[in-house]
Amino acid sequence: MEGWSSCEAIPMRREIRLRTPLDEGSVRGLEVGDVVHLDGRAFAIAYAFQFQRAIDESKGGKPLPMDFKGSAILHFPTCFKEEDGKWRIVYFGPTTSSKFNKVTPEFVRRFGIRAIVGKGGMDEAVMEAMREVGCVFLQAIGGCAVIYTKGVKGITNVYWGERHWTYAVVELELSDFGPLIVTMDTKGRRLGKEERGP
Amino acid sequence: MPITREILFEVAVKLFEKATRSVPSDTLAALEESLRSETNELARYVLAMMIKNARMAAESNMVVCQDTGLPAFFLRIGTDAELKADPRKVLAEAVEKVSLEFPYRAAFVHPIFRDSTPLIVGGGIPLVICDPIAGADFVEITMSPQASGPEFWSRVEMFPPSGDPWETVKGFVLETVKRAGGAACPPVVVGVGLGGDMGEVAKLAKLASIRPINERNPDPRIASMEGELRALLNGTGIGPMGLGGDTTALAVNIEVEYCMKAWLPAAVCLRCWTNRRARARVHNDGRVEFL
Repeated sequence: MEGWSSCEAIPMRREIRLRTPLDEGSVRGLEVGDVVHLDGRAFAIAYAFQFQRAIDESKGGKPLPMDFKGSAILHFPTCFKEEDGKWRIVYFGPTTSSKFNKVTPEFVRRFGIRAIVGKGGMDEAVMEAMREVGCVFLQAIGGCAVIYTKGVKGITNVYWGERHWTYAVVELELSDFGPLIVTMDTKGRRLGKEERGP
Repeated sequence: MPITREILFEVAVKLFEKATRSVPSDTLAALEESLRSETNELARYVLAMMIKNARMAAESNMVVCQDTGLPAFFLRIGTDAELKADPRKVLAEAVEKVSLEFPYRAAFVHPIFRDSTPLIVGGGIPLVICDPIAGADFVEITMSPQASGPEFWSRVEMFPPSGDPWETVKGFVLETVKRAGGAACPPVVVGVGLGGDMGEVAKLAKLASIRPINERNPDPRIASMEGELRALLNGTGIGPMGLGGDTTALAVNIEVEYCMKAWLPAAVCLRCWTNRRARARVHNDGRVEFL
């Protein structure tokens, strides 16, 4: 994928490319306004009950089928299909992140999440957990499904889709996935106000 | 030669595909115009990405947004049109075909029972809204997916007529857009309905929201109010995706009908920056014009 820098009229911002598992130092070095591109493993989760399920099963001592540690969580409803026994992404993009405010502080602390990618930012309780753990909120641009889907190399696994496939937790391999704008950093700074919605 | 089921189906398939996989040309032009006038650096960056995504979607036949929306068809049926098909049935079949083939995410549930298996059609989906056109020998179809973010913040209100009605409306529109903020995926297109009754005012706002964005209301007084409201909204500083900037509204479209003396019905329908819609006219002789 060509970078945004091909748009000549716009001066460069600080652009940073990071690979998962993300290390704490790199994440704490990010500042609001930085533009991030991600490589490596990430999980697309777009339903609060799936975050709660991960928390509950982990609390109950049940080993989870996936490893969230150091990963990026994408609030991206995902459309995928199975072809020749392999999962293939069709499209995905960001949804409003405040839907997950309630479950996120515990999720970030319990699984050592380093980046949450979504839309509209999250509340102060999430900010507090992010500062503590070393995690940032990365804003994806709404309505840009083509750009973000091009940043997916493949789907490595699909979990917890029993209810219906559209609710599943999707594990992905990212490649130059972005642009993502840091809108909540580990120093408690915020760009834009927290949005609420569906 | 009547307008057959086959023609209607084929046009509906094309319209649903086009509406979900491209940004209308008037909207793309407005985004480009905003990119030229926007003074905030981050806002320009976000607008440039939106334009890039819109172009990539059209070139690659990909969906613009992962939220392919609640499909709605607005039909204007000429009183001389020979429509020999049940539009609700045929349009649902077209939506089902496109949704299964691509595929699109099934997203529709019962409002109360929240079924565990979401639907792609059925239970009233797709929406089909019909109006007559006197004397016309064609059917005009506008297909527009209703995205969850902006639609969630749309509002209908019955105000009393006390005070200055225009100040009441301005305050209502401004408050609605501010409440939505970045969650409506601005820059937004704002459809405003004024007058009628509770159902009609919502419909007016909806029809205003799918009007071409450079088409002003024929009443010059209302047209000037559209301009005034747009300037007011662009002064809020919400900006693209709510991250700040001078570009919050691409257009404000107002539609008006008379109402009871005791009321000031007002409705605001928000649409995200993708403003997705596609329109075609199907004539009795089988000709199809994509508008």
